Amino acid sequence: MNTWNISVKAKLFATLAMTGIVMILVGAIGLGGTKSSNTDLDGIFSNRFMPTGWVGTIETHERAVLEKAEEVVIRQDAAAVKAALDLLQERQVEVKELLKKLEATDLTDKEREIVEQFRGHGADVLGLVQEAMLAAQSGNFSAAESALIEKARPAYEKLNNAGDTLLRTQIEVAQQMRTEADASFKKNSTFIIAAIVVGIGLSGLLGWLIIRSIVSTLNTAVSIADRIASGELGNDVRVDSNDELGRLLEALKRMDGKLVEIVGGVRGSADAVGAAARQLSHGNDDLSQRTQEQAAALEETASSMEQMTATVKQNADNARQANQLAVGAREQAEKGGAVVQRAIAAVGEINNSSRKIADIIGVIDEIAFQTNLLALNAAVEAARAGEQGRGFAVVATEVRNLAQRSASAAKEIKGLINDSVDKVKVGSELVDESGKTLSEIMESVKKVTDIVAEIAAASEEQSAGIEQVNNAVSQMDNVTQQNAALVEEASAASKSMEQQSGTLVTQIGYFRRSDGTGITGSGSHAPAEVVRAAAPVARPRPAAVRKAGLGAANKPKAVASSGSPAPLARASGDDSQWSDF
Amino acid sequence: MAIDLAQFHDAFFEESFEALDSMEAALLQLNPGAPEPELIGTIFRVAHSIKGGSATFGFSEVASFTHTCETLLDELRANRMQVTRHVTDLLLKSVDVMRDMLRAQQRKEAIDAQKVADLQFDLELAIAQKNQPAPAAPAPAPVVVAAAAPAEAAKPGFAHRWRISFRPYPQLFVHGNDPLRMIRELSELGELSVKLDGNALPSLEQLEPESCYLAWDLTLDTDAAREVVNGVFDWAEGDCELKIEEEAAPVAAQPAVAAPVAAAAPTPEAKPSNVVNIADAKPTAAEPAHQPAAAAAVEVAPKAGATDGGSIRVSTEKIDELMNTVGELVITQSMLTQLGSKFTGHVAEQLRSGLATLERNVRELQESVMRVRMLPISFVFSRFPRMVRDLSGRLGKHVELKMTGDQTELDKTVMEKIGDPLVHLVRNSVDHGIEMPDVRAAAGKPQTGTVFLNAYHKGGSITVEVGDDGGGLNKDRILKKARERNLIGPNETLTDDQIYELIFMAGFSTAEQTTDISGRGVGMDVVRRNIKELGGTIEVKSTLGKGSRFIITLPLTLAIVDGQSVAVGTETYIVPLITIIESLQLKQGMVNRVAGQGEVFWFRDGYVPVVRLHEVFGLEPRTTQLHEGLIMVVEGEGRKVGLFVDDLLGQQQVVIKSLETNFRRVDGVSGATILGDGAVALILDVPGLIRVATQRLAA
Amino acid sequence: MTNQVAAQIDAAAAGSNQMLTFTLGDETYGVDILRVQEIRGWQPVTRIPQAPSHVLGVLNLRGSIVPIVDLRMRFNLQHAEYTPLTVIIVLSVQSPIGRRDFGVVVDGVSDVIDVAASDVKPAPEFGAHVSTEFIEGLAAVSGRMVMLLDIDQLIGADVTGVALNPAA
Repeated sequence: MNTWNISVKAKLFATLAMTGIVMILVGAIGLGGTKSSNTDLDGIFSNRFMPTGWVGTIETHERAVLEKAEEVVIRQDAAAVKAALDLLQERQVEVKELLKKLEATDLTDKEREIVEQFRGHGADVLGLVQEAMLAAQSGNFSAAESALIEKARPAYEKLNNAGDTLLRTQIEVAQQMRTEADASFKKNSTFIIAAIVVGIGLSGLLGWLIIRSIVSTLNTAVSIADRIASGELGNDVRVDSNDELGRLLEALKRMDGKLVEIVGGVRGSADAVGAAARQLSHGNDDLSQRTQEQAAALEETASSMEQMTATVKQNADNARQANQLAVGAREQAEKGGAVVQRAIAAVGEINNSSRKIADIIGVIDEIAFQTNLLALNAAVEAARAGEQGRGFAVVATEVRNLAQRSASAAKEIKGLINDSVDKVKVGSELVDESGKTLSEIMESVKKVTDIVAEIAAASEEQSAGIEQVNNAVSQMDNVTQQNAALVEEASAASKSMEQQSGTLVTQIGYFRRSDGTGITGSGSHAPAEVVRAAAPVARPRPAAVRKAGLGAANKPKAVASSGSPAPLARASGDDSQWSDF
Repeated sequence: MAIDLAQFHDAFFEESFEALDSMEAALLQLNPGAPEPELIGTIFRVAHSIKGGSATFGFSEVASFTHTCETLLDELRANRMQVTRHVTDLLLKSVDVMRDMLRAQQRKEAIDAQKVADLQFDLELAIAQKNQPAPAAPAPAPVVVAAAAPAEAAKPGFAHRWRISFRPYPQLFVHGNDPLRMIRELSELGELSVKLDGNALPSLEQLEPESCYLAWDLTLDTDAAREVVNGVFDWAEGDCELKIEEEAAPVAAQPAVAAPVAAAAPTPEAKPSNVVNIADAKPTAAEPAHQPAAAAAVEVAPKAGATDGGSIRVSTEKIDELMNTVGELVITQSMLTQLGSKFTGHVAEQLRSGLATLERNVRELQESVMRVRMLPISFVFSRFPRMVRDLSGRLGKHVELKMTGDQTELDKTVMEKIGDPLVHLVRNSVDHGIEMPDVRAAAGKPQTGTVFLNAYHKGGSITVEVGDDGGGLNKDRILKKARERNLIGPNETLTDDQIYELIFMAGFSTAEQTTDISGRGVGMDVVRRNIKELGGTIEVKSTLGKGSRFIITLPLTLAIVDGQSVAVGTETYIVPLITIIESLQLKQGMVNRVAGQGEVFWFRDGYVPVVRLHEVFGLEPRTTQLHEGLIMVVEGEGRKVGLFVDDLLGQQQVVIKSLETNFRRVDGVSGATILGDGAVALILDVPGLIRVATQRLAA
Repeated sequence: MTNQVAAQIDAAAAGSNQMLTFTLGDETYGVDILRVQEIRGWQPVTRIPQAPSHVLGVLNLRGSIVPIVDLRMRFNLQHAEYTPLTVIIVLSVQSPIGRRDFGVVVDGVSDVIDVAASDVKPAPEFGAHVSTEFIEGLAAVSGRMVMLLDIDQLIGADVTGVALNPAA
């Protein structure tokens, strides 16, 4: 274990890394073999297979040119000479192109030599054909023919032979390359298998070492934990490694020490609590006494509040009645106003009629005036007529008299009508005034109604306020009652606390030193359940008190004083009611 | 109670003036040496009736003077005295004196007694020195009578048409025969047309006063038998060649033609050179001469044909009354039309069509009445023969006056006002236009110059042309003068029309010498102003060396004007359309204030002052903000102003009524009219208004 | 027509005169009835620029334009409102150039009365505040004093412009 003084994590990593390195080694070797075989295959394709095709094509082109020339010569077709020359030009370019490609491939020295020959023959053929065609162009077909047959044909045969030689050489080279590739594959596979075997062996060894170191340390830790559980503290823990397991043992050692300290502290505290609980119990008895007195005072307050509420309610009822009366008065006043309005309208109509009559009288007056003017004009004419107009003048005077009478009658009627118009005006003014007064009354009544309504509303509000005060008082009463109950409970609780602090001391006594000595403990032994139940004890009480009402204020005290187990059972059932408070 | 003769004074004066006019015309027609007895008779009758009237009404001076005239005329009539140029002149002067005396009586002014006495002395002297009795029968002009003779029986459908060829032998007169009498007798038988054959007339030197040189071709439409016609010529048997033939079917009654009347006068060549040839003016001259009573009468028939006789004398006052009544009728009718448009239903349709008919009838009635006021312009033209004669005599020029279109009718009021401008123009033509005979001869023109007077209707207006064949306007001289007087700048170039325009400027005269006839530098501007006041225009056409022509265009009547109604406050005014250039609304900021000139705004090519009508007339306008009302650019006497009014109401033809009839002249107001609702609206006098506004501004 | 009127005026002048009386405030005035052309009710007038203040304007009287004079203003009396009952009397004056019509605005027309020539007394001097130049005479008719107006004097040059000025 000492030799492996490194962390468990590092150990696991080292093992895994070893396995990985072996795998990478094997993979790299396999990949290298595959790559080399691919390169060989590419060489075979581009340097051996493609050129064979090109050689064939060049031969085909050359032959096509030759045959075309021969066709020309045989047919002695001067017209075709041009076509033949064109074909020659075109094919010559292509042949050059292909030769260039061919030379660009990876050629062995031997191959290169053959390619040179091939090129020379190709050029010979085309040059001769061209020569022949030029001759043919100048009409010398026989010369051309002889040139073709005697020179070009043999040149072409040579070209053909050179091509075949080139092809054969190519195939040989390819076969050689294939054999080389085979040998390299066998060498690679042997190497890879060896690497795999070595790797597996190394990994197994490392694994066994690691497992052994971890398990021994864990066993030590389990035995220490078992001893603490059984209350045996102050164990001697030996830590001899720095890794995670070492740290675990270290922690167990520290826990043991700390627990010794805590148990000592708790023993001290439990003693102090016991003393305090006794004091508390005494104070609670005093408090209980005073709370009873407060409850009595509150009861008195509540009863006087109830009396006040009754008074305010009566007040509000009276206000409501007054409001109803005011509304009634207002309606009456409104009715009166409407009647006055009608009276005003009627008077207005009378007024209008009077005015119309006055207008008509005006028209009559106007007619009388016009008649008078006419009669005057007639009198003027009559005067102008001299003696003959005398009679006419008399008539005119009569007419004037009539006109004046009708004018004065009209004036009289006008006076009367004006008088009546005036009177109606006065009447209408009076009616207007009474209407105004009525509406003023209406206005006042409205104001009264509003005020009364306000009073009623205020009484209601007051009543509601008193109700609230009442509620508050009874709530206060309740609270006081509850306080009383609480005080009882607190007193009971403090007593039980006293008891339980003793129990606590007993329980702490469970812990002892591994050397068999106790930890400053007293030997009191109370059951653990009692301590746990002590907390809820104080709570359930008030619910009972509340139900009992004011009159039963003393009762809870009796109940509470009766002590422990009985109330405990009730407490849990009343828990929900408590939360309501 | 004695009859108050005063009430007849007006009638007497009116008749006398008209009679004097006709006397004057007759005198002008009178040929010295060959006086027509009929003319002398006419002149004598005028003098006689004036004498009688004056005596009756107690105008003793007039009566006394006229008596002297009458005595002289009696001598002439009885051929105890020869008609000489001196005598004619004396008589013409007498006419003037009588006219003056009568006018003085009418206006109750003092008579220029000295002048009367002088002339009366001359007349008496003439009577005392009476010449040898005149040859028994002067070259007769009886046809005149024949033509003018009443042809009461002028009806178509006579039983016979006689063609009479009456060729007296020269000794006809010696045997006491009077062709005139015969022709008159014939004319009593039916409708007679007379054609004179004066071919046998010798030259004046060779003329035998006692011989008859004339022959007649007569056409008579009559019911009378051949015997009756023959009987007329009984006494002349052996003294004439007479052929009476019947024409198969008298087609239609030919009106007696007065055309050859004055041809009886000696041929123009035989006249003294400075006698005005009035040959072309014969209807003018002839009519007043032979129908003195009807001379000033309202011509109901447009032309005095042989069938004349349907005219009556009506005072203009009555016609004005009629006009007023018709105007009232028009207003009433338009009120009815307004009322009628408020009715609905099918009866209303009938009502409306009835109203439309009424409207048409009323308009026709108005036009008819308006036409009644129309008189032939010959009333103005008639004074010119005398004037030209006098002037040319005084200036030593040979001038012939040619008048055409003197039957063209125009409103009496226009006529009254066009006289003076025409006189001025004619005087100018004679004085400045026509050159001296030697100058004319040198210029290759006939020695006798011609002055034209021409009147004709053109559209709704009348055009009067005054022209001459004299020297024409001298543009260089006008320009020189204008430059001398700084009327134009020294280097300003003007078009011909603009140059001629200069002569209408105040104080401009090119006459080299001031004569008492013209050339004092007042004149053309006044002429133009008068014509403008009438609502007319004048333009000049001139060719140097060939003569000039003044063309005056006038409205037919002054009684009606095309106006634009405008509102200012509660009042409505009429602005004559002819003065309005444009109506526009000014925007804020378009008005500038110029010290001493008030408000101006830019209009077309210059600043135009704003004249606030409400300020000039002291009214309460609807608005005083220029941009809230309207500006009406008006022109008067060549000045433009922008008249500020509240609103434009509408355009209408209004009947002009004078404010002066019952009130007086008001500056800026040319008259009033009555609107469709019977209210009175004032018609603005734009030039006057501009003057008033300018004075206000200056004050 | 003009002559006729003149003749009648002359004829009437000989004996008793008929007078049209009208009121202005508390006073009663009379005019020769033969000078009266027409009596008509008040109607708005068309104003005349630059006219004297008592010339209210012009009116259409059966087709002729007639100036209207407010007699109250002419006599410097207190101005009265024009109502439909206000009366216009159309009078005519003779001028050398013929008859001229004009209207006067009065408070009311009273009557047509006969005044004997002998009843007419010359107008006494009233003192400075009332000008007597327009008063032809005074007549007492049934207990009332009527001032007879000389309208030719009254409506002088200020209205007709030429009334006192012989026509040119």
